[in-house]
Amino acid sequence: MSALIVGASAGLGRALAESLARGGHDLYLLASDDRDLEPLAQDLSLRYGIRIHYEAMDLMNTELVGLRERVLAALPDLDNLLLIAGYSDARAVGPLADADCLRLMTINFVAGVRLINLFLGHLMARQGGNIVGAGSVAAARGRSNNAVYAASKRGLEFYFETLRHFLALSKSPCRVQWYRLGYMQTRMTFGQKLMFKSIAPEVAAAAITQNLGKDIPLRYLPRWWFIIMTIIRSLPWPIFRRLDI
Amino acid sequence: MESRLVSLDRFSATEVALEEPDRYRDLLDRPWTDGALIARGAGLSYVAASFGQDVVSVGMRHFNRILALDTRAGWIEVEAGITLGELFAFLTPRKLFLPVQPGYPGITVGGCIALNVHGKNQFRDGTFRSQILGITLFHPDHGILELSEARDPEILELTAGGMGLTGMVLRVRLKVAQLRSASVRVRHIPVTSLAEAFAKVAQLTGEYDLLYSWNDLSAFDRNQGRGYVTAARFLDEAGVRNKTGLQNETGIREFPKVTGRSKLDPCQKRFRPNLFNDVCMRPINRIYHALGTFDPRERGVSLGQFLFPAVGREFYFDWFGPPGFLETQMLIPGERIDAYLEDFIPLLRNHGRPVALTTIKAFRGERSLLNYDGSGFSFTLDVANRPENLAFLGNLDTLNGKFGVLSNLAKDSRLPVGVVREQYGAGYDLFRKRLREFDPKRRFVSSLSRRLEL
Repeated sequence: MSALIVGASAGLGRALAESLARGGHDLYLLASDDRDLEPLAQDLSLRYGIRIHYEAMDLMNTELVGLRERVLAALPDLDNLLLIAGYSDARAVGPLADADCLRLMTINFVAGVRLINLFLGHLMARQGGNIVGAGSVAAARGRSNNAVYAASKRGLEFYFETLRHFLALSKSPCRVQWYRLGYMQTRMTFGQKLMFKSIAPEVAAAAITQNLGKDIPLRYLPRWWFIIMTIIRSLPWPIFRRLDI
Repeated sequence: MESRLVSLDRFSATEVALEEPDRYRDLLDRPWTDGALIARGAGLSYVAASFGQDVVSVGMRHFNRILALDTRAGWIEVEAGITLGELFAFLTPRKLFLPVQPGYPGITVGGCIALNVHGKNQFRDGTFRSQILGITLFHPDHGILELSEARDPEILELTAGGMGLTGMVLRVRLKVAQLRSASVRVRHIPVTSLAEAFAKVAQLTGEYDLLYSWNDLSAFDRNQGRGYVTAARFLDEAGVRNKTGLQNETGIREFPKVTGRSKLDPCQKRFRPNLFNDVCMRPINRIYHALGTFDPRERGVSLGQFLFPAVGREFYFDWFGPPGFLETQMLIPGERIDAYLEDFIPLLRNHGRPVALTTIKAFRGERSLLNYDGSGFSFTLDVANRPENLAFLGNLDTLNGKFGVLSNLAKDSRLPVGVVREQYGAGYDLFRKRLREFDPKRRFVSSLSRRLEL
């Protein structure tokens, strides 16, 4: 068992690394800063005795040459690709500067699609392979706040939907799982007054780890977000347009 | 985030800005302004060491990873936000442990360094600084500093026991000891008076691996401070398992990873009944004494339960009610203990109010800077936070001055700076001078450092 985690340095990505390591998965960790990756790799290796590799990579970097080879050289039996990285800017309301727009779309959408394509050929053939994506409840219905972030996540969600269809037609054993994550206790939400209860990344990581191998087109985490988002999605436009949510 | 932070004794509380970086970029690359800062571990210090008015508290709990282990050389390297419980769970199956650690697994290693804590056998093992081999310290004006006996030993000395005033401890290399077993054999030896408890601790020191006493000072006129000495030895695993039938094979007790609020968290709003009042405290202590002494036989206890006795007893801290309590811990020179008790006992009798908890430990060491260290007996008293008890502790300060007693700055939230200056003398002046030489801007500040005029 082995996994490539994109966005492993903190929050849900780090919690997933710990959860998978505890389950005996060998890991390849990707994130932007090796000052975080190195101690995490040392910790997981010491605690769980797994094989672990890491690489600092900025998802804004358009150069992916060699990544596939490096990952597969380290983990020839790579089973799981987990796309957890995300970037959100709380100030992102209204028209954005072009650079901010590009950053949001690249990290939340473009990089995800490119990374999946990089490993799709390998994972398609893997019995027990999984491609896992982390989206957001923000992408459930278009609203004024965080628009580019939400649209990018929704774009990636759509790509996962096509991927699932493609793998089904190809009769691939590889499974796809897409999560719309609710509030999580990370740096993104620290200190914010939230409308609903947040969950620890460890709780979400445990659920995602447990669901590996299942076919999950879309699932809310925690699952009660389904009720909230169903209500929000059902609101008629004349009401919704008045809500500042 | 604006948060109301509270000391463990609930004597101090302040609204502060709390930050919790979860990656090094947010800790090291951030342009820290000239405003005051202080690192915060688990927030379980008795005193306000990790917060202060207009001070940004920087939570370090996400920096809690194990970085390296050398079993042959006997050291482990960890990030400072790791808790003792996490470390215990990692080390014990590898037959290793930290000899010096305080009694709650949620406490972080960084907190232990800042307050140079002691464990169950300071006489033999020393204080926490005795197991520090090196520290990686971050200070916005100095960058990252590697401290060891070979490199910047003065700053290392200033940091271990420096109340977090030299910067943020990022990493630490600690000596670990071989663990003979994950269980200990414990005996409760009854004593009929406070004086006998001191004598018994003195007599048994060296015979046992872990040693401390509990005394009932809630009704001194009736029971003379009777109690019992808890004495424990490591035994080989098989011996304990066969003779006592511990429930699990190793006796290792796993502790939950402290990622959020621990049960001790003083900032947590919850119901706190005021049971340690003048009426209830005496019967409660009588019951506790009876439970501790009814069976004098040796019994097997897992090391985790023994090292972390506060686990499962968090209610103790709540039972002082919303006003909280005060702990005072005093290091009394061994040769003056009889004379000290001659003056202390009348003071206690005149006070007439019950003391909730009293413990005695034997100490051996050298006094330095503001460390609670030296030779003699560590004598701890917990009292409810009430005006009469504050007056009693004030009188105790006067008595302590007469006998060359050292008060633990990490325990006593009301200790006035005048008393500290008098007790620590040259150590206080030297600490203050060195701290100013290292950090002329004095960027790391807390309510504790302000009270002590550091």
